[in-house]
Amino acid sequence: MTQTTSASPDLVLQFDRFENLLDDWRDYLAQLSPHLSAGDLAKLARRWDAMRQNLDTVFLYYGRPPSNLSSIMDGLPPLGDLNQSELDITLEAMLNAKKALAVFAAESQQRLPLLEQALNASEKPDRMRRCIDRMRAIDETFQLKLEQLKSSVDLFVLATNGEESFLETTKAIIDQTQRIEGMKRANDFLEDQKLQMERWLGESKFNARQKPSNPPPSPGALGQAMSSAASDSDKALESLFTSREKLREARCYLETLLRSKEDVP
Amino acid sequence: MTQKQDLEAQWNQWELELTDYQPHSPERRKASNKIAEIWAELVETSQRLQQDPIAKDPGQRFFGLDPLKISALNMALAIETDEHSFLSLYLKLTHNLILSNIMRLRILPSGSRKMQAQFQAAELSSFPMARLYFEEEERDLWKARIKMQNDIAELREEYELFVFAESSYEAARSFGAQKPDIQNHRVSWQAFSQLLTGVSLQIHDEQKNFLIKRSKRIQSQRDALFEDCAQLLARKGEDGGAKNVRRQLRHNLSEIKRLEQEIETTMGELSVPGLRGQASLLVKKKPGEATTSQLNKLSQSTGDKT
Repeated sequence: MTQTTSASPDLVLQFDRFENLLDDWRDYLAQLSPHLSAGDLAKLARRWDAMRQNLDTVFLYYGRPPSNLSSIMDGLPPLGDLNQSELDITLEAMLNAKKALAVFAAESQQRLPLLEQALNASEKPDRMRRCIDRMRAIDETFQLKLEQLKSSVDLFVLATNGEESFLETTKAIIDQTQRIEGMKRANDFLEDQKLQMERWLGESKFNARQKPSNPPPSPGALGQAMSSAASDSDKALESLFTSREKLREARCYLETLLRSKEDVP
Repeated sequence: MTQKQDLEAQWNQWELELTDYQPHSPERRKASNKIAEIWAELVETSQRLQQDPIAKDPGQRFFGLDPLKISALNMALAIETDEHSFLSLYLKLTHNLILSNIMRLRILPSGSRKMQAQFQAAELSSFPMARLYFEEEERDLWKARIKMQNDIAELREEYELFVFAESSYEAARSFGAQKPDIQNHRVSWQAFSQLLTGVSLQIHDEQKNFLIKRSKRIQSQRDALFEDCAQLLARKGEDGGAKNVRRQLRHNLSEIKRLEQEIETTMGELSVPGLRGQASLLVKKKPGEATTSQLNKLSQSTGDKT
C-alpha cells in the first residue's frame, strides 16, 4: 500500500490506481476494525463511502463504467461531454427510476404479510386461498405493468442501426456535434479574421490614396517601363545617328563646294 | 491510532489527487455527484431485492408442505420475479430515455430542454440517420473552412505586398529626410532599393523624352537646312546672286556644324549609345549639371523638402 504521488499520464492506469488503492483500503479497514472504536470505524467507513462516490463521479464524468454500478444499468456517455440540460435530464430520469422502483417495491412488499398469513393459517384453507388470491391479484397487476414496460423498451430498438449499440450511436453523435460545434467556432473566427483583414486593407488603401504622392514603384517597374518604351527611344536614337551622318556628308560637300568656289577667281 | 492517522493522511492525498479529475464547474460537479449518488442508491435497491429471504433455498421451502402452501410460496416467488423484471426493465427504459433525450437535443438543439418521456417510432428511427446528416454538415463546414483559408491566404499576400510597399514608402521618406532612421536598416535598405528604382525610372523617362524631343528638333532643323541649301544651290548659276548664295551657304555650313556639335553633346549626355535591354542610371558628377526638373523629382520622391 505505497502511496505514489506522480500522476500517470495514462488516464486508464491512473483510474485503475485510484480504484485499487480504494479497494486495498477497504480490506485494510477491515483488518484495522478490531483496534478501532465503533465511532472511529463508522466515521472511517462513511469517509470511504464518500471517497468511493467521488471516484464513481469521476468515472462517470470520463465515461468509464463504475465497476460497482455497471451491474444494474448499461454505461452512459461521458458526463463531461454532456451539456447542462442533458445532465439535468439524466438526473431527472434517474430520479424517476428511483421513485418508480420505490413505489413498485412497496406494492410488491405487500406479498410478505400475505405469505406469512398463508403459511400460518394451515388449518384454514379458505383463508389461505384468500391470501393466495390477493397475491395473484398483485401478480396480475404487475404482469400488465411489465408488458407495457417491455413494449416501451422494445420500441427503442428502432433507435439502433443494428451494427452498433444505442450507446455507441449516441456517443458518435455527441462526438460529431462537438466536432461541428468546434468547427463552427473556428469558421466564425476565420470569417471574423477575414472581414477584419478586408476592412483593414480597404481602409489602408483608401488612406494611402489620400497621401500627397504615390509610393515608389516596385523593382520590376523599371524593366517593364524600359521594354515598353524601348522602341520610341530606339527610333529617336536612330534618327539622331541618321542626322549626324547626313549632316557630316552635307558639311563635307558644302566645305568642298565653298572651297572650290573660293578658289575660282 | 497512528495507523488511523496514517490512513487518513493517505486518504487526504488520494482525495487531493482525485480533485484534478473532478468536474471544474460547480454546477456540473453537483449534477455529476447527484447522478453518481442516485446510481449508488439504485444499486443498493437492487441488492436489497436480491437479499429477499424468500428467494433463498426453494428446495427447503417446499419440503413437506401442503399444496396450498406451495401455491402461496410459488405466488410469492412469481411476485419476486416480477420485482426483478421490473427493476431490470425500468433501468433499461431509463437508460434508453436518457440516450434518446440526449440524441433529441443534439439533433434538434432548439427543442424543449425538459425530459421527454414518450418517443414516437418515427422519431426513434431517425436517430441513426442523423449521423449521415452530421457527416454532410461536417463536409460542408470543411469546404467553407478551406475556402476561407484560401481567401485569407490571398488577403495575407495582398496585405504583405501592401505593407511592403507602404513601409518602403515610409522608409524612403525617412531615408531621404534630414535625420534618416538608421535603427531599422533592413527597411531603410529596402526603401533605398525602391528609391533607386524610382529614381532610375524617372531618369529613364527624362532621358527618353529628352532624346525624342532633341532628335525631332535636330531632324526638323536638318530638314530645313537641307531644303535651304538645295534652293541656294539651285540659284547658284544666277548672276549677281553667287556671292550672296555663297554667304548663305557658309552660314548654313556653320549651322550644320552647330547641329553636329549638338548631336555630339546629346550623345555624350547619354551614358551608352543604345538603350536596348539595359537599365542605365545617369549619374551627374555635380548636382549643378542635373536639370532642374530632375532635381525637383528627386526631392519629391525622397520627401526631402530642399
